[in-house]
Amino acid sequence: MDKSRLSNAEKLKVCQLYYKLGFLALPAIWAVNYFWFYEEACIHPEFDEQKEIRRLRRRSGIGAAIWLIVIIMWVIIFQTSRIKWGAFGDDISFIIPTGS
Amino acid sequence: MAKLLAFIICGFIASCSCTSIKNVHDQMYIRLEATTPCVLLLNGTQSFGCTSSRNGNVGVIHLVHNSTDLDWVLNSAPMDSYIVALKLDMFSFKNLKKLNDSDRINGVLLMQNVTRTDISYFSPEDTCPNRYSGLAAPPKHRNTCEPQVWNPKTMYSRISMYKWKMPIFFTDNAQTIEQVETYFHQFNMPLETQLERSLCALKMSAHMYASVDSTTCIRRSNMAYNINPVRYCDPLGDDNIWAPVIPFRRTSEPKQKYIVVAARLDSTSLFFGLAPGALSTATSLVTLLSTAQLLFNLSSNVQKAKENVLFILFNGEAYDYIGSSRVVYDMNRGQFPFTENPIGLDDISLFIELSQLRNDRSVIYHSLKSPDSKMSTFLKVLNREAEKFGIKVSGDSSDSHFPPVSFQSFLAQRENMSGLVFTSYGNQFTNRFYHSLYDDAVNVDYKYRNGSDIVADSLQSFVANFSTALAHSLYKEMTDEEADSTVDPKLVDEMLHCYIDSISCKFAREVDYVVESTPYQKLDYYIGANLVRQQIAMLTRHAFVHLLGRNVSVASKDECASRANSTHYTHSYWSDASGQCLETATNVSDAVSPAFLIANYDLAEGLYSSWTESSWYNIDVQMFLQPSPRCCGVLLQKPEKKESWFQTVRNEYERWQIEEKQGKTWEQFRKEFEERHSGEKELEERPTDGNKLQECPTDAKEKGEDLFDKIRNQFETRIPRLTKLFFLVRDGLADLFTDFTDMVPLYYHLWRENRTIQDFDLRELELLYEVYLQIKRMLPVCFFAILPLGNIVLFTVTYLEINLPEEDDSKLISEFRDLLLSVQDGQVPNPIELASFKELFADDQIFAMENVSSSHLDNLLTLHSQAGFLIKVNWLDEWASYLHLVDRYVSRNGGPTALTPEQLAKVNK
Repeated sequence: MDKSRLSNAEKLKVCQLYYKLGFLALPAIWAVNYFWFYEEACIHPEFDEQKEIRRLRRRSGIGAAIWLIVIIMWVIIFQTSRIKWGAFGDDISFIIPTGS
Repeated sequence: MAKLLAFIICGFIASCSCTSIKNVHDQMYIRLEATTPCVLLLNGTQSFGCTSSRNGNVGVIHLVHNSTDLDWVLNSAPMDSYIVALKLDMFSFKNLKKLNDSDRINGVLLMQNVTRTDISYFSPEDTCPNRYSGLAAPPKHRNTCEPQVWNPKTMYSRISMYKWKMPIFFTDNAQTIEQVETYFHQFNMPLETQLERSLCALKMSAHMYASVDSTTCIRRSNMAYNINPVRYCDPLGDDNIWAPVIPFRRTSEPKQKYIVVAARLDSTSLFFGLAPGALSTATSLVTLLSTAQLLFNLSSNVQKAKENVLFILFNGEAYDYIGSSRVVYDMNRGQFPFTENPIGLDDISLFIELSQLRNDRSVIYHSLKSPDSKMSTFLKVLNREAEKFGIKVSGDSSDSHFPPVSFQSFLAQRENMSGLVFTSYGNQFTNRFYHSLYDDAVNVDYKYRNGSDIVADSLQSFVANFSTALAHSLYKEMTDEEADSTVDPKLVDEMLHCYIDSISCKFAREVDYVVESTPYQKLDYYIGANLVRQQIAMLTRHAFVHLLGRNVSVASKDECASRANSTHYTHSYWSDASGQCLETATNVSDAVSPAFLIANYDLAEGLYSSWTESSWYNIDVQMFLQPSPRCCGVLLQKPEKKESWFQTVRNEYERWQIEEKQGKTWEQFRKEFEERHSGEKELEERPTDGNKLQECPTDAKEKGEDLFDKIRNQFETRIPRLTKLFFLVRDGLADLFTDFTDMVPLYYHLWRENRTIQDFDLRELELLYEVYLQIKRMLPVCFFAILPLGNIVLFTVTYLEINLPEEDDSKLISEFRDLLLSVQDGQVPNPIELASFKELFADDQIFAMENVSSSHLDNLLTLHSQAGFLIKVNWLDEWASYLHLVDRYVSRNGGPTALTPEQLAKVNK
């Protein structure tokens, strides 16, 4: 999709769509939303929908960041305590590395 | 464009995967022969032994002779990772612990030559073997390790009982030791300047799949939903072997009492496959066999026996009494030996165990309870019989201090069972090599007499005498009668030779046992995972059948196999060695711990043995030359140089194309060109590589050179104009040798336009040809120079083929074929099928060469078995042939001078 060809209203629509899709546990879409609409939110001269785009973009960004933190924390916890958890650790592992 | 790239990459990958990797690997690494690993074993709560990382542990070799060396490598060594090679005197638990705790040490190689005069003791086993099982197992938890430990504490104690995070290998191969020492002195000395040189390093691969404990690894092995099921570990197990003197009846009979005579069938060691177990196992095992044989012969005519004697050999006793605890478990369930007429624990009137017997002129018996009347009577008879041979039988009974023997499994269930354990030791083992690789013939002072008379004071005569005395006592116990025949010491000698020296022996052949080859042809008493049969157990089963088998006359082998005994539990076995049909009551029972039978048994409980052996994929030790970190700094600069070189070639080439159009002659251009690059170094001679590990075979070189000259002559007569761009190429090649992938940009540059043969510029061919010439000149730098171009050539070929015009295919192919054959001229035999050829490349480009049984291309298939050199030479020749072909093709179509304006435009675009 070439964003530059869209009208401002359409941009807002896309932004809203991405914002909503992100709630389906899809943080990557929020991240896309955040970076993709950077120009519209921060560089372009003011237009009607900008305020709303900014709001959605900010929320998407925060959501993506929270997700990222949660995922990183989980990875750290999982990697460090998998062996300690014993059977439970094995059960939630898809591939068990040999020798550890 | 994309297509071209894809082809290049495909060609490249294909060539790498099918041809070169193996050869490069062989060139880079020297595999150390005859190295034995320490592997990982697990029980219900812990893991023991060694493991490497997934891809093997790498470290610079350091020879450690004394504590100074050790301190240096631990504290002041400059490199990040080392592998320590040491002798037994430095192989103490304390030192290993230090090495293990250091992040810098990645592995240990124990190098001990076979001369062992200076080795006075080595037992990596626990000071109290099977510390937590037998009588010590729950619920009794009886302490049998105090007041004194059984296995004397030394600096090696408990090495087997620790989880090392580094691999430990052993070698006694003189050649390997010399190799390591030589390379260490050649490359790694002096120590101070290690950072500045390439160093000799080892890569130890012994990655163990299992971890944590048996519970974990068994659970993981059984996980059903795993997409890639892996066996992480396998329970230890094999067979117990038993034989009653009087066969068991099938029909119900009045309850009979049994005297059980037992010994163990296994031993162990720190190193996988090196468990000779002469004193810990073999002597008692042979004593039991000869006793059984004599007693069987004595009682063959006995009509009514008071008691029966059951000989049992327990397997896996080194690992918490696997075999005996299983027999006890089966007896309690009423399943030993069969579900009909089972023998219970209470049917055992006397338990006799033989353990660690040696030629001491005395035998010491242990019993948990003070001898009751049964035991006293038996001892009295045995004493009388043994004294005839000058063997003293004395007691060492102490209430709690009971040795770690199989009888403990029975005592754990029936503490008041009458039992005697005959040993060579009192309150501490006299075996200085218990459960180690040195528990061999030297340890028991055994020399094979090979049929000559047996000396009086020898292990053979001791075993013969004691087993005679034992058999007589047992016979007396069975029948109340005296006996007088004796055990033949020569038979004992043959058996000991089998069980101590080598399993490929006369006795094994006599008992019809066909020896499977073992890696080192050494005896191994280690029980192993239940998947693998232990050779010792199989041999012993054969021995029992032959020693305790009744010869029955049958008409044929088939009849022997189909014989059935309706009254007794026996089976018939046809012996090829003696040509007889033997009926025997010998049988086996599983020596697998009950822990693995009982559903939902908690392996950590400690009631039964829970030992498993980790799985592994690959075990080896390889030596190679590791570049120094400073050397890498130099290497890092090289790509820049290469970049600029390619740039120069490209610029010069483009300049020449422009200037030629402006009317400049080649001579003029060349002059200017040389001025422009006058300061740059030329590579006159082939580079000498100090670190070259292998010379090229001279024969191959000559062959290659002949062939090359032939091609060159043909080539040069056809293409008169040779550009001199080549010395740029030549200089560049020196750099290219370090990394073959760098050759790609050149070819990519030359062919990036995706041109067809017709508008293929002759100068480009010339350039390639010159590259080829230069490579030829540098051929003796075998490893670096040849490999890269071998790969390049492949993709060159691929490229040219796919661009051949379709309508000319068949004609061209036949020409190509003729050409190839004429060039090769019987150079290489071994024609191969095209199908396999196609498969090798897995690429349809090759299809264009249908029906070509080109002999040198055939060679591709032999890549794996031949030296890298020859093959690469052939690759180059092949390439030249292709160029030649292209040349012919171009000439036929008018030659380079007749390029159409459109084609020229395309070239110069």
